[in-house]
Amino acid sequence: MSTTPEQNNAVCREFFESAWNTGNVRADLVTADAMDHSFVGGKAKSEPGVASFQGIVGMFRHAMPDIHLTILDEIYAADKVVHRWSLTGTDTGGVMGMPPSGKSLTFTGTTTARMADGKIAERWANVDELGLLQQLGVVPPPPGA
Amino acid sequence: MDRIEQNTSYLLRFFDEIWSQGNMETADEICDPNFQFILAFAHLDGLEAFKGLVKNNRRIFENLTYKTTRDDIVTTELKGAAFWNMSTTKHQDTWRNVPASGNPVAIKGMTFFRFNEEGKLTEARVQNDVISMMKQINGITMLYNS
Repeated sequence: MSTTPEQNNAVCREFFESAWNTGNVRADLVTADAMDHSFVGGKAKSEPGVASFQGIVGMFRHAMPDIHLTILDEIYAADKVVHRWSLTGTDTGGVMGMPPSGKSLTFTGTTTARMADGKIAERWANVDELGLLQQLGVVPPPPGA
Repeated sequence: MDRIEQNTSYLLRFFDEIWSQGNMETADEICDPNFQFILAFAHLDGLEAFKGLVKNNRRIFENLTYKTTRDDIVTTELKGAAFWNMSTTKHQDTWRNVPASGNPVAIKGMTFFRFNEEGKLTEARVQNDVISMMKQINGITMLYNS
């Protein structure tokens, strides 16, 4: 089944907005052998399919139950979709094993997905983890900030 | 060369010729004079400011090299995104208040680009793995890792 870049982008939007904003990680939108190349939040290994991403989303939604994804920009062509995004939420559960700060946190990132037959087959993410840790006070802000 | 192929070619040259070779003539050729270079922690306003950053980083990081391939690039008429690998053989001067560590560094990142109607690059928004960079140059006491 061949899908257009626009259809691929719609699948990605549905998948990521549903996962982050409602906690529903749609396994039906990911191939069974999907590869997750992201190692955010100290994750050391990746599992095929949706499990790896489910772990990341679960960790952050536990830490920030009101977390919300905003897609700031998108590019899609051929079998690739790229999103630039921000996540905002209140740290009531503790991020990445740290005690809850009660702070409202915002961090940004990009995600690239390779699509196959209308489903996400590979995912890469870059996340501003340093910015997140600076907001938590774990590392000092950059000079002049 | 159609616009999308030209955009892909410009992104390959952006990393190879400007960042890896320090060729500022390429910067003048493919970037708009009002080029904006935006990082999570800094905003360089204008092409001259960007060229200054490139020169400075190439001085601080020995053999600074950015690698990307066509397979790592997605382009449309007015936008582009590129996934890249950056490496240096030695962090040899102060970077963001972190003194020279002498360490080699390798990180990954993604940059979002915008092109104007004339095909020139007008904006680059960078999402790079600064936390990994800081770890590699001993810039963070990693409570995070404890």
